[in-house]
Amino acid sequence: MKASKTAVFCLLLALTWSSGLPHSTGALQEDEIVIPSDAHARAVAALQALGPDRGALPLSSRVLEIEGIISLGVSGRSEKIRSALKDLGAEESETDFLIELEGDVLFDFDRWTIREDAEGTLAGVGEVIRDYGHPVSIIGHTDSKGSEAYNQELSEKRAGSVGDWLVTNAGVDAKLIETTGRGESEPAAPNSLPDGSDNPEGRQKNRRVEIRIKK
Amino acid sequence: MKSILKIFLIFGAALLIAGISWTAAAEVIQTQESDSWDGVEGDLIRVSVRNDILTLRFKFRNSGSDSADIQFLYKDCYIVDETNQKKYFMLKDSEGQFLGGPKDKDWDGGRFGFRIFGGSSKGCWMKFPVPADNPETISITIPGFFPFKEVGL
Repeated sequence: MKASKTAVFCLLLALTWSSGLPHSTGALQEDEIVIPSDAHARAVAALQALGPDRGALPLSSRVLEIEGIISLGVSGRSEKIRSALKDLGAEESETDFLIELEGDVLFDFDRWTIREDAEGTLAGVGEVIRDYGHPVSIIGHTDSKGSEAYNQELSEKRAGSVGDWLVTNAGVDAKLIETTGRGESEPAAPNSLPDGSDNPEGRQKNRRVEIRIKK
Repeated sequence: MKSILKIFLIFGAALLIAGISWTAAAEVIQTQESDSWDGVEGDLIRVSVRNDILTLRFKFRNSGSDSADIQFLYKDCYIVDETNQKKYFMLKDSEGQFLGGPKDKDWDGGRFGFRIFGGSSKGCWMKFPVPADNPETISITIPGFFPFKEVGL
């Protein structure tokens, strides 16, 4: 009887003591992994839809390259980034990659907060910038409607919004980003037609944000 | 003297039992460092197969003191059957969402985007098809982490 009491006491003591031991994961505040109860059924349906090959894709040389990107070092990484940038429609020059985003897609009229439906596009851009890790210039442009001073301020705020979004939501290092506004000073297309009338198509092209990623 | 020795033996045995049970709970199959977030490591903690569906469970740990904003799209995660030179993406439901979680956004089938504070961790799960050729091992690619190699099925 006495021996069993001692055994229970020792077990409790040992459990209490061991729970305080440092270890690789237990010392951290852990987050539970919760898999929804219907996930397996949805997975079974998804698997059936894939057919007998289960969605297998041949491991092409490009995939091998991406998979081994870290061991390939800088040149392999650059190649991956270059490919991703092309997918985003970026233009490549000797010094940088340029991604142009339409102002009307990013912002509502006369506003500088990012539209919710533009977040997917920015997320893709942010992922590339984050992975590449090179300095980025974000430059806002407007059309010529309104005063020069107003357009200058609006372009700065819009460039700043894009930069803030990339840092806050896409995990881009803030130190990499520089934002500026050029107002209406660098139009990509004429704001008016040769006869002096309004050129809405041209103005639309001018409302834009340039993202220049240095090579 | 005898009783003291007995207490030591019982205490030792109890400690061993407690240690074994604790070790089982914290078992890690493979750990890979992040190449994108300082101080962050990914632990593959469970691999299970049922009805030709492979379920992977991970724990992303931030051992550093600063918080880390971990983000990747589930569409960029895949497994590779090295033996047969084939790769497989995550299973996707009828609504175009990848079967994995947690997700902070539904973009492109879902994004894992969470801030992990220093000294904390965040769990994650993913479902893949078991490769059609039933290889013995696979590798797993998650953006921002070195690949998990030769993971036994």
